[in-house]
Amino acid sequence: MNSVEVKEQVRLPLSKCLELVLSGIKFRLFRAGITVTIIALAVAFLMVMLSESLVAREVAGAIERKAAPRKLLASWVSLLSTPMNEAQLTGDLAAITGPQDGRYVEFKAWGNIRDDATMAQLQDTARKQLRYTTEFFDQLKEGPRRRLVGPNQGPAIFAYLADAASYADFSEKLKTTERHLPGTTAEFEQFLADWKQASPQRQAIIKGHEQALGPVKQGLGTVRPSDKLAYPDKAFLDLLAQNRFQMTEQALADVKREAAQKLDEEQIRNTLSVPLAKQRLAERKNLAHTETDFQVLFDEVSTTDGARWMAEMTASADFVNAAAAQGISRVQFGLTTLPPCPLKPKSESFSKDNAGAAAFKKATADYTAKLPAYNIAMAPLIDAQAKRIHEVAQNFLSNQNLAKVEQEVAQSASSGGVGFSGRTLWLIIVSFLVCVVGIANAMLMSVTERFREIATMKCLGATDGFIMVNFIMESVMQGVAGSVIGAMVGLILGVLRAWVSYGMMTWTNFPLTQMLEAMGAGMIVGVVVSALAAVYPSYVAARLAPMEAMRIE
Amino acid sequence: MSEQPSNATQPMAPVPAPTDGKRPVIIRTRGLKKIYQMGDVQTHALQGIDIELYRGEFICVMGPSGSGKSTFFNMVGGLDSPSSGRVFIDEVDVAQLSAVELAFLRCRKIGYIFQTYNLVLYMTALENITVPMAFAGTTGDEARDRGMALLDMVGLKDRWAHKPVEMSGGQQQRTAIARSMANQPSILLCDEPTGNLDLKTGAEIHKILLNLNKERGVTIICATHDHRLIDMADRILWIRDGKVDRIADRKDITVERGSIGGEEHE
Repeated sequence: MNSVEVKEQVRLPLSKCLELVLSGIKFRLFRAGITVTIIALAVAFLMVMLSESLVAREVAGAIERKAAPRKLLASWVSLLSTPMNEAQLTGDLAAITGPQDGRYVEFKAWGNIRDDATMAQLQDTARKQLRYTTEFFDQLKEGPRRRLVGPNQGPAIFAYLADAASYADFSEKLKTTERHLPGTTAEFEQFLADWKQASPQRQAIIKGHEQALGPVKQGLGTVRPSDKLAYPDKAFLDLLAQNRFQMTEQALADVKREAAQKLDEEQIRNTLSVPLAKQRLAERKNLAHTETDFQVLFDEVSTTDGARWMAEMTASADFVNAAAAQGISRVQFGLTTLPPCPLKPKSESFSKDNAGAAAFKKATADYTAKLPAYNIAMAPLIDAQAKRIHEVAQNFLSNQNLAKVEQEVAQSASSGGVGFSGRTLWLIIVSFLVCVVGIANAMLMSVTERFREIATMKCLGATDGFIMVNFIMESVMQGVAGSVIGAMVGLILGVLRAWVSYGMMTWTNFPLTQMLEAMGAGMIVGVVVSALAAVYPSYVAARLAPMEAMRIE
Repeated sequence: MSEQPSNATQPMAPVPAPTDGKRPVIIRTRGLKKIYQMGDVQTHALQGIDIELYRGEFICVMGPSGSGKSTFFNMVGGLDSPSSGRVFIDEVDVAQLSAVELAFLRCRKIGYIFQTYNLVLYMTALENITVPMAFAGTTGDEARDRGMALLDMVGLKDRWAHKPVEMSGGQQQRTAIARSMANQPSILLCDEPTGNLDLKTGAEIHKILLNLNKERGVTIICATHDHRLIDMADRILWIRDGKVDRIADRKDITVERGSIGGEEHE
């Protein structure tokens, strides 16, 4: 008996395979189009979500960076006005980045803490406290919390739990509570012990700060801390340093800028409390008197013309006198020292007799004589004033915009990680599942229609494997086409959506490399899905018996 | 089995006369049985067939529907495996072959001609013919040349670029015959080759098949009802109820062909 000498059934060269597959697809273009559309839709959906959330993440980061100086100013203002409480201290301790952080040095100095190890311990305990507070105690509703720790809230809870008897009571009641402490009970108990031990040091820091605050407050006098921080003089900075307050160069620059912005914004607002200004604004904008408000004012002075108008108006003697009549001191913007404005004499201030009338007449002439000199002196300074007004108004508007965008970002579908909420991820997975089913269905129909063609191929020498590869390749090609189209369409749509929500910020912080990576990932997913969907139908095709070619329907 | 010459236009040497009086056998079956299992029902399609088909002969297989004729056809054509018994195609036990080896067999040793032509609709005639060549490893210019030569053999040289849709039934069947000869097989399996064709076109097909058999020594196994094809055969095999009913040489059979009003009729 002979044996068949099979030199390996010659593998069809890839080009020939591709040729066969492509001509097959061309023949069935409409059916192929359906598969391509299905994949394109699913990939586009994925890409829209991905690209929008990528932009959202970048924008959120940018907003946070921009908002940081403002937060810094707020924390300094509170530091310089009131003594700290336990909660603040915990927050600050937890937020310290490292030994070079200003707060680190301050706390160490105020608390008279000798070594870095103790500081590290304090920080660690503070972080744990924060964690237990946010992840457990804050999550409790009023009722359960009262049951567990009585009327205590915030850091007082831990003070309460530091006592052994209270803690025993607490842990008993904890067993019957549905929420659980994060981590183990042993960890919590260790933390409480550390907390108790660190308590005196924390008190020392608070006391130290209070002591340091005294001289600083004296130095401030009646000036508000934020106002002083806007244009601090050397004496004040020295005073801060003496009392162990730490401010890095960068921090100082940021705080000064923010404080100056705050101060000048307030100045701009103050002008509207003078009725004359309101009237002038209404005239300028052709609005009713009642329609003029801060928004209108800021919008107006954010233009160079408007800023100039305001600078001139606030410099004019009429305005200064009107403001003085209301008890508002000189409105100025920035640190320009303005020349004193002559005050218009009021007839009421003079006696009603002849001497008074003559004095009034003299005072009026005096005033009129001084006015030109004042205007001349004022002229070159108006430019600087206008510039500053303009700058402040623009910053104000851009911060307004930032707040709006921040709201949009908070509302968007992103949360954590790449930026998919659970629901969005679920939707995407379902859409791809539907894809798989749809494509598998279309392919099965195709296989059923082509049974004779497949069987004939087998008669001509095609192996089962060849048939399977053929069909999978068909599906993969359609998947590639669909993925490419879908990825591009999805990317464009997603970016457009982001543009509508976040405005120009989309473009200033465009995450280009990440977008391209996302596109690549989306395409890979599309191709993989289409290949997976083809597995069962091509298996069916591969198993077709060659004698099926003989069957006559 | 000797290798075929690669030049397809040269006729093969005629089959050498047997020296010991025994003709060379190309297909042999021993106790061939096939049982189909459909749910609970077992169908005994073939119930033990012992037969020898000689190399270079033209044999027609006949039988009523349900007689197991198609099953027998599938067996000797390497399209299906027996449930029990043996099928030797060129002394090779088909049942021992793996799927890949069977595919090789179908590619190189057996050519197939179907009643429904079974051409690939989105390929031209020449491309259709070169498909089995690609499976056998011949591509490019060599394949194209051989393909054109084959088309010439069936008289379709100028239709090489036409798709099946642009050809008549007879032309399609001729293309199919050319395709079946692509790798110079020694066996040609024909399932009602003229079943879908009119008389005149059928005659052309008959001529080609006869030529293949006589000039090139290809063994032709035909399942047909066409009396003119039967007329050309060397032997005729009747299968009934899964067994060989009768097998006879052509010269022992009378085939009557009728005519109606002068026109030839089957």
